[in-house]
Amino acid sequence: MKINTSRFGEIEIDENLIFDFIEPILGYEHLSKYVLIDNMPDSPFKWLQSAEDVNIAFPVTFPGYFGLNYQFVIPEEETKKLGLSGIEDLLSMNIVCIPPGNPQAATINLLGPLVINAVNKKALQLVLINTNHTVKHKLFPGNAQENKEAEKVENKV
Amino acid sequence: MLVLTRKTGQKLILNDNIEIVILETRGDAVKIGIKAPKEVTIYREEIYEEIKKANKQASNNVLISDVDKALNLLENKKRPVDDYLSKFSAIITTPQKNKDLNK
Repeated sequence: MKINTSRFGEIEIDENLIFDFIEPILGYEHLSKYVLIDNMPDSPFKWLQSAEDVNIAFPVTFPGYFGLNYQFVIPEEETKKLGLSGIEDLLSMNIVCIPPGNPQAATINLLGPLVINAVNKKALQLVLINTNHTVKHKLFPGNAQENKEAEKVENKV
Repeated sequence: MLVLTRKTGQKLILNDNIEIVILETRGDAVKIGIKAPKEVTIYREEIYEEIKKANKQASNNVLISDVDKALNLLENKKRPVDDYLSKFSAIITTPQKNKDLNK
């Protein structure tokens, strides 16, 4: 089937690759169907695009790629809701927030990971409890201003 | 909104299967115990709101070019996809480059 998107235009999608968020992405309770879009192979950033609202898409990524030591516990109840038969079917990713014009300040939401059963495509946004993970973990640590200065110096050299 | 006054140790029952008990009050802090079936999710409101806000910020007006700029900040951007990313290959959609978009 074809879906319209504001960022990627009209795209052809395989109905079997539509995720069904059985618990919504918080703040988007009216949407449940999403597709994971790979617009640039080898990039650690992907897009979670709503199949129901052309404008809604989230940049997502994988903490491991950024060297983050990221672990969380998924409650048994949630694994039941997802119909998981084994942990190997569970995939997770995290939403990235990139402030316009300031990619250096990008953050990753480690408190609310998105978890997906890769077999039946059921998904949900977990809210972790009893954890030190934060909603806005810096993806590129270090002071943004300092990095800008360093860049300038490097350019001069 | 239903407003009730309870004393320490007193309970409320919701829907036959959720029990809320006031355990302790100290100044403006109230310690509450909740007994509920496992499938009932309970969040502290501020955490729920924080994630909601972060989700909104992440999706509001974000452009493909913003992600490209973030990608440029990665030192190892040429690094091939690792094992974990490759697990996604079966469930990911790769848009076909549509010539119409360039018109």
